[in-house]
Amino acid sequence: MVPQIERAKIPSAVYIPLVQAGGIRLTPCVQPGQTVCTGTLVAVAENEAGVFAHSSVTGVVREIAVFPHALYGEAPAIKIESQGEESLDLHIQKNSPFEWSYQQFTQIIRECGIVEMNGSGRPLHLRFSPHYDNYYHTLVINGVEAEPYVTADNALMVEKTVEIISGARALKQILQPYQITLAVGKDQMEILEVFNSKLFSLGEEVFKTRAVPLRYPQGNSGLLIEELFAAERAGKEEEFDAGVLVLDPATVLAVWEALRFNKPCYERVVTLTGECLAQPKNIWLRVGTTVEDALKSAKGLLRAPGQLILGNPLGGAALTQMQAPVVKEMKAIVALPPEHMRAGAAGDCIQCGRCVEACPAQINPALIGLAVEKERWDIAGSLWPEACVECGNCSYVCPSLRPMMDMVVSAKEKKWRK
Amino acid sequence: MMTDKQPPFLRCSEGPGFFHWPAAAFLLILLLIAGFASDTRILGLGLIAVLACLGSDAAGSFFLRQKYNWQDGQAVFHGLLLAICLPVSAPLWLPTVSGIFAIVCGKIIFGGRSLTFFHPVLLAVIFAGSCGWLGNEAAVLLDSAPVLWWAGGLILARLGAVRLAPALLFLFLDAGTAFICGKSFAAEGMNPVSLLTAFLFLSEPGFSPGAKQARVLYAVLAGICIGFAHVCTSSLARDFAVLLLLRAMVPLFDLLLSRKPILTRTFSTLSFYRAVKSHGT
Repeated sequence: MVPQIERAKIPSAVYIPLVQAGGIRLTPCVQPGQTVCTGTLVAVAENEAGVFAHSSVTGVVREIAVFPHALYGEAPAIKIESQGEESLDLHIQKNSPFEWSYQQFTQIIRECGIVEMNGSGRPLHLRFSPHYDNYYHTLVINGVEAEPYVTADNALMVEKTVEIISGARALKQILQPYQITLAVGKDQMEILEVFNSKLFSLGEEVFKTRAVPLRYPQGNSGLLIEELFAAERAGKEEEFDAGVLVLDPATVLAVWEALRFNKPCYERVVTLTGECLAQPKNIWLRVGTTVEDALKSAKGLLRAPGQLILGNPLGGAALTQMQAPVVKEMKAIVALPPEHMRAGAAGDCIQCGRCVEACPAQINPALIGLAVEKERWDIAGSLWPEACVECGNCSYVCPSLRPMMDMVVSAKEKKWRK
Repeated sequence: MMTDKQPPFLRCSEGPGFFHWPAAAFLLILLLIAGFASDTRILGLGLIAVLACLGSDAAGSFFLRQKYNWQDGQAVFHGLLLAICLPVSAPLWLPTVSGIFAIVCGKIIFGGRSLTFFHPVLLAVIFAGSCGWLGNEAAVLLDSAPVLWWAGGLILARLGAVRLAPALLFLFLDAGTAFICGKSFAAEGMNPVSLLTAFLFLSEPGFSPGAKQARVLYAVLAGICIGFAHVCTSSLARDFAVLLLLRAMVPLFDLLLSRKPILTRTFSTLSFYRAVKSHGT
């Protein structure tokens, strides 16, 4: 059964980061001492690539300084102390649905600070060209949650079924795709049933629902497209894939709330889980809540974890500071026990080929890793590191504890920079 | 702004010795049975071979200024495997010299750490054969009970050390080829050399990192070649020479089976091997 979603207590203070995924910087538009409501705009992007940031609590801006950050070590952030009472910003009100132009849509999702909430954190408006050209022929709602431990999207799909369908309908209205497909894992049939019944009662016939084999990392958008549209894309893979927009349910919900209520993205569902947590659960957390406060919502830790991982336990980031804030793309906080960890110095590659067998992108992480170790970026680049989906399978299976995924990702980044 | 992302340490429980230690334990049991059943000299040969391999590996690491890693079990496994391939009456210098030759030639010269183009033990056995100490007398291997090999192989497969699919494919093709040429299918399936190849040589890591398909091709070719070889007069040195050559060709199979343009792949892989030949810590 899919766990239900609880709502966390409003934290005493939140830290709104002024850096977004990809290193995009934000400029604060509030001053220390200023009172802000929940949803008030607090920072604007320095360039068109960024999205705006909003206060996630009602309170007073205390400080704009450098604070811990989960991904960057330290980053500038706005500290807002909560005043306990919750009052929404006046801009958050009900809009008339289905009356947005394409340009309005891209502007709204940027101003509401919507990013891809599946872990990448990439601003959503970057997925759309500035001028409407009916670019996407297919919209896929990716409900395949194949990551171990994580159930945030599944819980959201059960609790917010109608809202997610409404979000997809709004996207259909704006983007005019030919087809909309909802994909879930084969062991998540109850979610499919919930969606089918709602779609039936709403009289929606454009939506298709599909169940795909639930094997990690099936939730990756590239692999999901391969699985769903094997026949349609045969012979024109690149062209077809470019026209498919894959969004996770959390992003679709955020889009719907932005379009319908002008609601900025200031909260998200996070899975708090792992053997070390007293009470694992899915919970609505305000953006900027510290990991320490978030864990208190799950009754804290039963014992010291071997590692706290943000996001996907295989490909996510290890948390080093408990004061780091929850960010929009953070889907889970996993407190894993020491017995699941095998920390230690990386050994030599023993050429066992397990990473090659485990790689869903069919690249050779072992060869790429060896080339990266020798700083032979030319060789590493010629072994197609760009195909890596960053699932972390290679690192998981490596018996020599080599950081395979990180080496492949560094080769990929090096190639892109060239 | 660069991320300061730390990777998660969620890892599977298998260490780098996932193959070598269980396989070494199995070989040790075989040697102990052979030693107590026929001649305790076998145990002495085994001990000397293991010490020679460990010592030469340690010396090689020292001179190459690399961190010595005996915990992966590779040297112990190679020592025991070498001992089981030598005749009982071999002089004590033979496992010593063969062991040193295996590590120096197979592991240090023709490969880097854990990257061996020629299997060290196959090289060493051929070296022993060239010294006239193979073929004249039966090796311990040839006297070992096939039932033990089957039992050990299946247990190793259950432990996750041995890949059963290429092993069974090899055995089927080996016995099938021998059967086509007029020999008994069952007898070939019980040949200790075939069982050793199927369960230990085909599953041992260290010959090509991208070897999923190449390993299957290696199993197919080795099965057919060994099947043919066993139809002719039995010779351990010749069987091992065939395996050695096929194994050295695995990186080439890897190139041929690549889905990418062959020339690009060939040049990048060749330059890669040149660059990382002596990789290590």
